[in-house]
Amino acid sequence: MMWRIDIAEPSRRIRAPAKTLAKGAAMICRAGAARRCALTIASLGIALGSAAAQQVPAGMTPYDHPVFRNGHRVLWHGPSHGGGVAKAAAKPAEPEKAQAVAAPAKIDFTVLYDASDATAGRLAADMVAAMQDESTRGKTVAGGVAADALTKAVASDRAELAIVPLDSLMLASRNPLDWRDLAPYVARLGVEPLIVVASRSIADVKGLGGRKVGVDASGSATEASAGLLFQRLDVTPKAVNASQAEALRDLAAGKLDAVVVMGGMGNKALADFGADGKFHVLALPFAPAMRGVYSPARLTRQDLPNLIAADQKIDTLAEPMALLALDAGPKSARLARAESLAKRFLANFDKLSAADGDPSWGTVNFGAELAQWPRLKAAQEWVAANTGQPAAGAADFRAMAKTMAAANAPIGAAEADKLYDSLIQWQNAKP
Amino acid sequence: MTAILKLGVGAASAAIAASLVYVFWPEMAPATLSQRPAVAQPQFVARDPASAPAAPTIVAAKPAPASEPGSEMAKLASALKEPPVAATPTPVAPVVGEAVKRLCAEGMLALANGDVAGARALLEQAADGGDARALMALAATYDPRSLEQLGVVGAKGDAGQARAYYARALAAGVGAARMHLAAIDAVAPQAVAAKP
Repeated sequence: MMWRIDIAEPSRRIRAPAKTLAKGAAMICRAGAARRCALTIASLGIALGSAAAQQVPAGMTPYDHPVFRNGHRVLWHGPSHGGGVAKAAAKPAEPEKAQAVAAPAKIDFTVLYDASDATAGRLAADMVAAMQDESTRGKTVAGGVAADALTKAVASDRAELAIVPLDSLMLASRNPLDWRDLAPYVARLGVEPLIVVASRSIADVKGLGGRKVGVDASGSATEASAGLLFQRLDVTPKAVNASQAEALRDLAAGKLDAVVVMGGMGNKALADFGADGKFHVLALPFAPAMRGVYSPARLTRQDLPNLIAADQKIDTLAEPMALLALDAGPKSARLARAESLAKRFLANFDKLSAADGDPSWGTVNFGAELAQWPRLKAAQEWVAANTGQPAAGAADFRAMAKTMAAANAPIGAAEADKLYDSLIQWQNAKP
Repeated sequence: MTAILKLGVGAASAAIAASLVYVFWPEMAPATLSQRPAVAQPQFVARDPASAPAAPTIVAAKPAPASEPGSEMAKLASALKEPPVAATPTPVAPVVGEAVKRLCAEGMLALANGDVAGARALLEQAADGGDARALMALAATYDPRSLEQLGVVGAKGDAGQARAYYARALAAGVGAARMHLAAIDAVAPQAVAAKP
């Protein structure tokens, strides 16, 4: 539900009573001027509605400067996804008691994730479970998280936080909008594997050249990642936009040659696919072009029983994800709210990394940074306050790695020797 | 029966002693007089407590006739040339290719940069490629003390996994892993040795 009140174009909530008023007026004014009369009364209704709208609803924050979206002025922002409405409707009684007990401010929030990404969906659900309590409710919303979709998400106040693959960020940075200001990151998250399922007649990823490959819906993160993946592998398939379920059906029917799936671990549709043994997972090489963004991943039969043989190990690639705060640039009126949510997420992280959460939470290091992307100031301050001074040996190890990275020289056996010596020196000096 | 065995052992020991004396008796000729050790590789002579019980049995089973000193010497020389029986099998380091070493280096770089997930993925592949050093680095990505010292915020590590990787590293011949195993057992004795 849209909670923004737009003066230039009455929102549905205001237009609906206006229509009712117009009908009533038409019944009263039977003469030819009925329509004009109705419109007048309707206009009055709108004016009244607008006047009422000037009263900032509970939980909403008024903008202290003119803000325009899609050519219309926006007066305030805040809970925009129905959580606040539902709860307000559920607890209408006892206003005096509510005033007497100083209730904590409601900070309803929504976490956006890619609709086809099972891993991101799990992470979003974990986050909501860890962050919400009696006074704060959150929910997840599935949608697009590629550059264009994120632009819409920011403009529509659809979500406060978004789980985004790094490839999407790279594409977003090419967007005309200054994304680095619009959506600073809160934390770098874990990795998720890229899975290319193909007919067994296709032996390797090079064989996908000119073949029809399903890359999820247009604007999806999978489409963005697949595009960059094939570009780096110098393979040119015919990308076909179809939802994941539809693409898997088409693959089974022979209409597609392969399907790219992101975050396929725990994806039921993928787990059930290929029981007839006609399909397999293609290996993706950890080529030089992949270094820096992707890391290698190894899949076994345990991961995808229908698509990987018992004694097989499939080397593929894993893509890192990041948590973004949407519309939380330094000048944004939503910044304070984003900072509050980021602090809530960071403070509740231990709940996430507990046994019930996704295993990838166990690899999250808030100290890790994204290159060339700003971090939300509150998150940066939280990390700085919670980071201890590295031990001397560890600092030397890090310094050596930093020197090697700065040299931008090929990494080989000699570097491995030096790094290992430094690692062991540090490890052996541990108290 | 026992007496016969004892006699056999005694006879064999005497035969070996005599052979050793014969072989290593220094020649007094000035041209060959040398301070060179009789055994070039001392480890062949060093006694291993674990292998000690096996030696008399073997000797007693096949006592050499004392009347054939040449044959005895040949057997002894042959035995000296053979590698000793070790108490624990010494791991044979596999030949690690350049690509695997590179993976290991990249994994350690990722660890130094705080990319725990990336480091584990790279190091696991390097370890699968036979690089025992990757096992030590992998253990560090799970060792709670290592993560803390590295300045990692968030990931707490897993002492059980760290212990398992240290154990694998030790089995692969990385002696430095022993003290880390002991340290984990001292700090977190409840850590179950998970199988990585």
